[in-house]
Amino acid sequence: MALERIWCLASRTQDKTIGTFTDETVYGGANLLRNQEAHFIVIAKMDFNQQLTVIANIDNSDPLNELSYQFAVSADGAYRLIAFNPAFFSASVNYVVGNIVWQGSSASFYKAKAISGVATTPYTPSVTVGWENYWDLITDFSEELENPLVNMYIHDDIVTFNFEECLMTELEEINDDILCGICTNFQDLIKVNSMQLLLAGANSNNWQGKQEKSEVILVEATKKFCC
Amino acid sequence: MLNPKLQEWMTRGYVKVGDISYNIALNMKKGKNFTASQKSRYEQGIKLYLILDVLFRHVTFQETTNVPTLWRITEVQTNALVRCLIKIGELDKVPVVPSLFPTSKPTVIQTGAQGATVTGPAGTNANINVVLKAGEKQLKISQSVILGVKTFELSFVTYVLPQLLVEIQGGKIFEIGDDRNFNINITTQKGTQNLVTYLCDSGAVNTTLQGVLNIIAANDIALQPYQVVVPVTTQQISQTFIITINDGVNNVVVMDTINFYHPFLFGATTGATPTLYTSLSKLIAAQANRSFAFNDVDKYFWICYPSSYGTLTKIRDANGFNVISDFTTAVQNVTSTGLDNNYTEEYRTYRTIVKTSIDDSYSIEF
Repeated sequence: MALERIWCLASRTQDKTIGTFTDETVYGGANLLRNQEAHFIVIAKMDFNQQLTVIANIDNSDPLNELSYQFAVSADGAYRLIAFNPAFFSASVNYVVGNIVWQGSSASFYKAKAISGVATTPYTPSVTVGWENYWDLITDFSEELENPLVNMYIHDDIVTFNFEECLMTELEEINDDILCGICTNFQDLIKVNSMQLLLAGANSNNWQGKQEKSEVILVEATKKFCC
Repeated sequence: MLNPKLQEWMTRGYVKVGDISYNIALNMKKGKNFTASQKSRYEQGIKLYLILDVLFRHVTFQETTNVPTLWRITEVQTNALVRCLIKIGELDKVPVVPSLFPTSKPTVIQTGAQGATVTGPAGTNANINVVLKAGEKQLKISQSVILGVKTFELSFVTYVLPQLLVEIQGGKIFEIGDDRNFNINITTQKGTQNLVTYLCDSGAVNTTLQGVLNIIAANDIALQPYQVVVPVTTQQISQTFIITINDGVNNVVVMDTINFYHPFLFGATTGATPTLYTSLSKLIAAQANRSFAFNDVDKYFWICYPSSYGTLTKIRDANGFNVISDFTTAVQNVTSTGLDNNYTEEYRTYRTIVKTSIDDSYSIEF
């Protein structure tokens, strides 16, 4: 039974510099167990043209079990998570150049650089003598974003940590004024309302899968209200 | 009643907030942040956001059925907010294009019962059937082709009430003692729903009628309108035949009645003590104010009826004058003759006190 992939931007650190994507997919039962898949996660900042800037140092040390991935937040806006899910190596499969596999005994990913398999000669990566002529160890999937020969799942989302903090500060200032007996300037309310509108607009576009529009809203709103 | 499209309007409102925000951001990017139109967008967006904020906080939708639940807000308030949402967001002017999900293979529903899930190759014709289940409203599929785009529309069929006609054949008013044989024609025309029950509620002939009220035949499209002819024999008493059909939505009740009465007796006689039943004319009718045509010379004129009707208050001549004082009244038994079941009934009689000549209509009032 095919898994229904569910990813969420679940949390952030107090200083807003690190976010966490979590894998909420339901594993087990009629579905595959989590450890029957090997994941490699790439997270990238996405601009309004969907150009990606890959974020370094995502912890992929436990491909068979990990369910949450932290990433450095450079700015509010659109982010893309690419969950690579290469098949487990099988000696009964014919591989072509570009195929990527998970090899269990070595707990590593490998990318085919020559044809091999049951129709020719099966070379198990890291095991069969001479495997290096057919496979490359792969530890960075950022070059595989366009590879059509590997399974991947893409989840787009938006980060609004900084803008929310900025909005919170504005609200606190208004509340402070009220608590100190200073009548709040009506213009200040409009500012807060405008910020709330733009945050809701960014979330609305995110909900519609239009993260590039959310990106534009958050970038411009941050420039106007939070600088 | 809560706006039935509540969830759709909230969704469209939320999408509109996204569009307005994006337009505001694009104008910011172009440095056009202080124009009148930009301020107008802010105003529209903030109002929409505030309304949506209230709705999102006070309305929840059941996950699978989308049935809304209101929390600390009334239906009237919710509808008012939705009206504002539509007006401010101009949501009724913005077409919403749903997401399109391309499929490489159509799902083909084969002939037979709904539920076949065979997947055919691309280009295979698909048969679409709508099967009405018990308790469901009837649906129809209509098809239109505009500029090569074929559209199927599923809609409710407008409900049509079933029709029922019940009619006793021949006369419906007879003299008591005159046994009658007659037919009752019952005609049904099914509406949108099949008939569920088809009953005759007249106790005395229930058994006779129930046997012919065939609900399966009454629902047969090929037999519409469906008619049964029910023979009734030796009817002696007044009887109302009540037929009820029910299509699971409504009852339709239609009835027809056959009545038996003791007749009014009227006319003229030479003597003052005739045999009323055979000497006078009969008017078989229910008790009511009635008129009688007299035309004779130097006779006693009579008006008689069952004494149970009571006495008259007036007897009017053709000019409308009350001439009851010209009549003498008495009570006597009248025995019928020539009927299947002759009777003897006590009658009240009104007779002119003296012989006279009348060529006119007289009317009586109880």
